[in-house]
Amino acid sequence: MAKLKIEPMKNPDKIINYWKKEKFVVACILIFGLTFNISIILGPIYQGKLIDSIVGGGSLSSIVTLTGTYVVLIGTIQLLRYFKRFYIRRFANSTSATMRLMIYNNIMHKSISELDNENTGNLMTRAISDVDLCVEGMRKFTTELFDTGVLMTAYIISLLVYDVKITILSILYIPIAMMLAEKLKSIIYKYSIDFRKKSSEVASITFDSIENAMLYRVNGMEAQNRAKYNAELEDLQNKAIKANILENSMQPIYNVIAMIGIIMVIYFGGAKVIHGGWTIGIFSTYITMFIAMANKASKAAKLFNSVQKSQVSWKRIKPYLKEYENKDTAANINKDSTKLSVENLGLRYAVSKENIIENISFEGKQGDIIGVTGPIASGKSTLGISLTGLYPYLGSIKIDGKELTSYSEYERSQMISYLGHKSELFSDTIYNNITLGNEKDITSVLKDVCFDTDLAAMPDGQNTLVGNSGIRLSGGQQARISLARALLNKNKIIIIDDPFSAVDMKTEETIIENLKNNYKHSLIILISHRLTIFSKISQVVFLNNDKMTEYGAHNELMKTSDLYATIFNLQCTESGDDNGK
Amino acid sequence: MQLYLIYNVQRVVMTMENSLVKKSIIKVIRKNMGRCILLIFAVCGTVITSLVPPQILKQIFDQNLVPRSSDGLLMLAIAYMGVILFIGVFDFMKEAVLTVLGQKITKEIRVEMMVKLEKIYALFFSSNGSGVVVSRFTNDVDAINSLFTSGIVGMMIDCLKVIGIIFSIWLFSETLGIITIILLPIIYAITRLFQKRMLKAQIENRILVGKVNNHISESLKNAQMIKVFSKENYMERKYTEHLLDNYKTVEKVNFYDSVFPPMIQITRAVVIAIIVILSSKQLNYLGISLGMVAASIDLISNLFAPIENLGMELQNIQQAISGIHRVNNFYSETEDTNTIKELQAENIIPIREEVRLSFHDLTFHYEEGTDVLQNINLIIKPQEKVTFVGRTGVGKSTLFKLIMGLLKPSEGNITINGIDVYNIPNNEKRKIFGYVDQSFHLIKGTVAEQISLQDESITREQIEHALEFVGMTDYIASLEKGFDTQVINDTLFSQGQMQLLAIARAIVTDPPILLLDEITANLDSITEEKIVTVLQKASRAHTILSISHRLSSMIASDMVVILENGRVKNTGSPEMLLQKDDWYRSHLALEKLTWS
Repeated sequence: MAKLKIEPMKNPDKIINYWKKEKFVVACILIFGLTFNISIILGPIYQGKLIDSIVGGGSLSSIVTLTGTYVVLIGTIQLLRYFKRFYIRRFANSTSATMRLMIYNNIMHKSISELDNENTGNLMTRAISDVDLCVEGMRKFTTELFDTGVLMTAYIISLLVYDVKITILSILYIPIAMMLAEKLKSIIYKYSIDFRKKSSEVASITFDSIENAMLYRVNGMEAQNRAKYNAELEDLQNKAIKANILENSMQPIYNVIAMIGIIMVIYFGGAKVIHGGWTIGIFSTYITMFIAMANKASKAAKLFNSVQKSQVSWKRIKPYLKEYENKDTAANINKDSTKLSVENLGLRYAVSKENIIENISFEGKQGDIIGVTGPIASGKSTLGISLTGLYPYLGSIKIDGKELTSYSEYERSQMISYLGHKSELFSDTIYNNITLGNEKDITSVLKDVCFDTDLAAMPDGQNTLVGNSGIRLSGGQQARISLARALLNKNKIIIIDDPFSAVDMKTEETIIENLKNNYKHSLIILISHRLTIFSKISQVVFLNNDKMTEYGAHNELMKTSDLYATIFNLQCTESGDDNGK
Repeated sequence: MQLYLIYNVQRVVMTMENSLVKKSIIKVIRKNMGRCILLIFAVCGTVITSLVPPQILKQIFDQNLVPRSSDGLLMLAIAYMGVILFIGVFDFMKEAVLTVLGQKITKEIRVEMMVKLEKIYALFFSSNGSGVVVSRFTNDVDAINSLFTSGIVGMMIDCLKVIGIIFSIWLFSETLGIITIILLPIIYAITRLFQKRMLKAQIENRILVGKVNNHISESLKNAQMIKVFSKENYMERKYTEHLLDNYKTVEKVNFYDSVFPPMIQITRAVVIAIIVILSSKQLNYLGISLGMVAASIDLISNLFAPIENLGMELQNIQQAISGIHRVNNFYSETEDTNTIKELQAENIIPIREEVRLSFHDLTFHYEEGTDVLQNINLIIKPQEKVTFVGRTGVGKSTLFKLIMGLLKPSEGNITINGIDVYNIPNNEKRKIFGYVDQSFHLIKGTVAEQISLQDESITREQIEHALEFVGMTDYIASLEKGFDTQVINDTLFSQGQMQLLAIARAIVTDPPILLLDEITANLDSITEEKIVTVLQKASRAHTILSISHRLSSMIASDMVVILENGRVKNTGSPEMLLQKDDWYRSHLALEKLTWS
């Protein structure tokens, strides 16, 4: 029965390996393909015998026996055909699933900076339609290997057995048809590339229009975007017509060319019957086989094309078909205590010219809450993300005395959790969004982020579906679900980048209090531009726009840094002003 | 067979009743009358010429082979080839015209879908993932294209061929004609059985493909989080689950797809056997010549070819029918209906200093029975600065969407100078509202285009002015290509800078009403203060509505509206509320406590 597993494979960048991988299925295809395509010549042969039996006027019982044999024979042949078809389709199905899995695995294991440079629409096309096209080509290739290759050989041999001269004279035109098809191949290939390229471009525009639909709507841009989209579609349509017309319409022409030999077949074959060399039945058998062969030959062109087309897709997906990667989940980390020391840390993104942050140094241990603040564009978020080790950094980040880069990615994830300002939710349940497959009780963590009251109002509780990107929840609820996810494992280091922007003050205060009380074994790094809570935390890293960093306890900074004190006082008087109104 | 055809065409027609697909097809046919006529000509040519070769064969058998005479044999051979040539030419014409028409229809459908997307009710986007919607535009439309090219038209041709063949056989022998006709319901039954089963599997499969796509799109969107939490394996496991479901349904489809053609071929063999037995000299039941027997076998073979094709076409059609269903479902999504095209920003707000925004008994719910907002009544005076405060989830952002006429109130309405905002066409909105969201959405394009959103009516000066306004000019000048730097990802700007860009985007057209949704949430004090100064400078001719979860809003408000449980709990000037509203007073005190 159906193989109910989709498994990774080795060397996925060599197309031949997809056949090698499916040993059983390919063996079935081979056996049934060969037997079916060889035995199929028995159909026309017996059909001829049937006609001869009418001419010969044998006994009724002999005719009935003959027709009975004929039916049984066809039945057997068609049973073989069923198996051949089914296994070829199964091969395509598992190949498509494997390819999709391998591409997904590759994308997921790309580094974050590589992914930043990828275009989402492009990746989608690759993962979806290119795989389909490629597999379609592989399937057709496998099918036609038998249906054209084996079958035509079988036909030619039997035709030669009937009459060498007629066969040679009549099949001369078949290679011409095939050559013409082969010639046109390169043109079709070129058009096909143009078409695929455009198609992927249009897909990416479509994605942008849908993803940012509300933005465009609020700004009344939909009509103008549509006009541009229409122009793109027009272009796509023309490219599609060019690519498809040669491919789909030429087959009848190839057929005409391949069929020219029929004149010889009828004339010389007819003459042979008249002179008694052949029976009428043989003439009928011969003509049936010849027509079937010419037909196949004209379709062989289609085979070249679909193989060619799938090569285009194959080229596009090949870079994504790399060895299967599996994160090493061995973790050698110190669970008892935590010590973080950051020295001269610097980071830059590939696109920008200069370092976003420079020369940042600070230290912390379990139970500490370190606040990170600074003016706009001072690199607060960059500092936060650099502590995850996802981007290459300058200087040194040491956890328990060991450099962050010498920990494996998995170890880092077990030590550090990070919450960015985007909520990053999946269209799944609240429970799955928080646990991400890590079956744990989430009641307490939901309480820590003050979600318990929200949850009480949801009829499905933890199994409430959050909608696409969490759209069914409010901004504050989304942020708190993401926070709960970051807190769930009580990792050694918890980095929180401004999660409270959509959360009201009272809730924020409660959450901070919960963090202080319930996460004493963690070192919490809280990135925020609200300094009010900073007076209650251990240390503050204050980033300046001029890339100077000040570091110390809140009270120290109040004394040593004018800017820090100014901001702090500003934020305080601000509420005082309102009070005075 | 005719019955079957009628049934199927009916199905397609029914599916297409008042549908986008039907509309598009009709439109393309109208525009391409010449091509359509050519198509009909080619189709008739193909059908008629393909009936001729068996007749020639019959001649050869009866005139030459049986009587053993070579008179006219060469002529017949050449005639045979000539007919083949005609078949080829007609076929070529048919295919070429079909390709062109098919692509035109595909394009038309996509165009219409985009028109629809423009009108579709805003809530559609909250309940449908981008990946799923994209696959409506791509996969489903492609399936519809194959419906037209290799589906419907192919099927009509094949049905016509069947009719032609039965007619030819009927001419040889009525009995044989009747036998052939009896055969049709049998084949119809088989095909029908497969159709039902396959359609079910196909629809299942389409849904699963949508899920697979959405999973990829979400994985890409949340890549950073997945990395940080080392959840690649988890995500892959989920993906494999979707793939496996998909695999199983495809396997089902494959079974039917594989078993159908062999069954047809076996039936063909049985029919040929019967004809041979009936034509044997002993029975001679059909009373036909040997040439006729041979031609009949040929014709019967030709009869099965189109029927076998029908099996293939069936698959295309079924795939397309589920595609059509889904495209049409998309097309019948609720639309914003009340838009009055004649409404123009200049007429709604002739004098920008005079904007009267009123809420009349406004009630809104996403789902029946759970009102997000209830009976909101408010009148906002020209150029008033209003702050909405309240707990998160109280419906403040929903209120803003209602103000901009993106959502339709369940009851009551919101008006600007007496005009219902829900009636205002979207393309006028940018001249009326400047909306700054909690988060900034980057679009494909350059820095300048982030501001203009590629609106060609916005000049470079306006963009520069807006960026100057928010103090981003220097930073942008430092970029490699300045305003024309392509923004490929969000590492180019910090969170705060993106918020500044969002403000620049909102004010670039200098709209009279500004809607600020928690804009200071991601900004540090200094930038915040700068923006407040800037906004206050601009506030002279602006009505400003802002949302804040804090009571001490950054922009001095003339009026504070406190929302609680979807209702207006209290309104008034900050001074008045301080005196009269206990909640306001106590929370302000609390805020002050936390802050000092």
